[in-house]
Amino acid sequence: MSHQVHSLGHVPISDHSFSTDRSKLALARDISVEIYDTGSKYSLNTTLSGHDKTVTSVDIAPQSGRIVTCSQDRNALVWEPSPDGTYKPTLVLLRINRAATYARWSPDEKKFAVGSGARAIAICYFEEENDWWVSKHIKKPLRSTVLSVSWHPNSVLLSSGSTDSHARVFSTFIKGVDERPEPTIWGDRVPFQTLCGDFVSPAGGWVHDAVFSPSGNALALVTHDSSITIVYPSGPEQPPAAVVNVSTTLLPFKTLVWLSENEIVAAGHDCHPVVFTGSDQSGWALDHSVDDPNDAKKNASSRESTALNMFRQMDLKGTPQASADDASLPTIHQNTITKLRPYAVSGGRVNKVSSTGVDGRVVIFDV
Amino acid sequence: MSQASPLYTFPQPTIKSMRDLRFGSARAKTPQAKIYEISKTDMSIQEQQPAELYTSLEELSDALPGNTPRFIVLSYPLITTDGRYKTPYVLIYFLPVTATQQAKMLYAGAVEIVRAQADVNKLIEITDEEEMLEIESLLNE
Repeated sequence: MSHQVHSLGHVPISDHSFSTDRSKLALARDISVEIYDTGSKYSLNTTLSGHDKTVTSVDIAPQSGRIVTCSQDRNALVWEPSPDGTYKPTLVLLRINRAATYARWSPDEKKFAVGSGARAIAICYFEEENDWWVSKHIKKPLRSTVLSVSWHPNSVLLSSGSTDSHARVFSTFIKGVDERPEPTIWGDRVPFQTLCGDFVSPAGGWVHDAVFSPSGNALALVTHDSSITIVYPSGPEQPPAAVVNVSTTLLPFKTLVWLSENEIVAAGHDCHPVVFTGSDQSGWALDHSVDDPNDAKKNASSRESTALNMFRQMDLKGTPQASADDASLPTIHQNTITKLRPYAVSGGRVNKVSSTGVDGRVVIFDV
Repeated sequence: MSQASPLYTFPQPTIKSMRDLRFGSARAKTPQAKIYEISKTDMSIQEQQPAELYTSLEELSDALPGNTPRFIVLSYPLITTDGRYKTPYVLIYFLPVTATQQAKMLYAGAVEIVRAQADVNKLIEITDEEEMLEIESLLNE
């Protein structure tokens, strides 16, 4: 179980995204986005500077390689790759009056969704007629900042996690851009802005992330009450078939990734990923920790316990024990993990996830 | 600002179309409307293709593009609160929020000219296709 660790500076990373072939990595850091070439060692290729304030999110579209970035300066930029390796930015007028917090391309890459502090989600698509990006707002039931958005595989349904403690599923169907989707368990006729589901965790708390399962038939949310909730809907306009909540004694999670229909990995303020397993029949439970700090503590080599060392420690640190974890955390990440993304798939399940956080490190974990 | 602007032109078909609507709709029983746009190529005011005389607000609302401004000349027969028949003849300036700045400025400059040419009593501004369906309440005040 060797995890790849890349320390690329100490500036916190708000978001990261790998290209489909994993040859490029985009890191959102402070007011610019850095593009790295991957390999045995990550080297800086270009820096995209177009934003005036902190870039909060970056996403590389899987097929076309276009990059969308959004920032606290209330704008989003779409970066088009050119053959010589540079990127040309296009401004997208989001028409929001607060910071943009999260941006993601839809699976078919025709639209992207941007969550914002303006209590709205901007769904943006390119209009050929006017040769520019148009943004339509979803406002109706949202009552506070949107922290995350996640697309359903059909590119029409969108889930959102918000600081008003609700995770909601909306339809973002746009006439002329989307084809009428197949009916799903979330709803049949789905005009724009239809609310298809509204979920809260039992103890309440900000919803940091809400993600659809790979099939789209379940929704998992992580909330600030240190729990994870998995919702299985039964049909449109009906109460869900099952809402499973797993409460933990760990610190709250900020992000989650579905490894398969029965496994979820989540990470957050504890600085290491945690895997949950289960199903709608048997319920869900915490399975194991990846990069477990308890293991690290056990393996920590006991220093020479000579008298000299003991007094040396007392002089240096004030306590006779040589505690190796005073200066640094026992986990690989030294600060909160803010984003997890699937990195590699094998045998029908995600077996590697990439993580970034406040400590400025990029780590690829085997899960 | 009633002098003709050198930028926008009215080709003959448009002038004829507006005149037909003005005089043809006076005694009609149903709403009558035509949609006009500004051609991007030569800045002339033309009827939106395919040219059609719309007789219901739903049809009219469906025919409007979501993200570009349009001018609609509408004649709407209704019965007022005190029982009179009247058929107001109005210009509707449809300006969606998602239109480009360039389009907004182009159409804003033409509003007065179109109003004068169409010879309407009133100008109504709407920003949404849904507002079209509630036009009756606006006309009836």
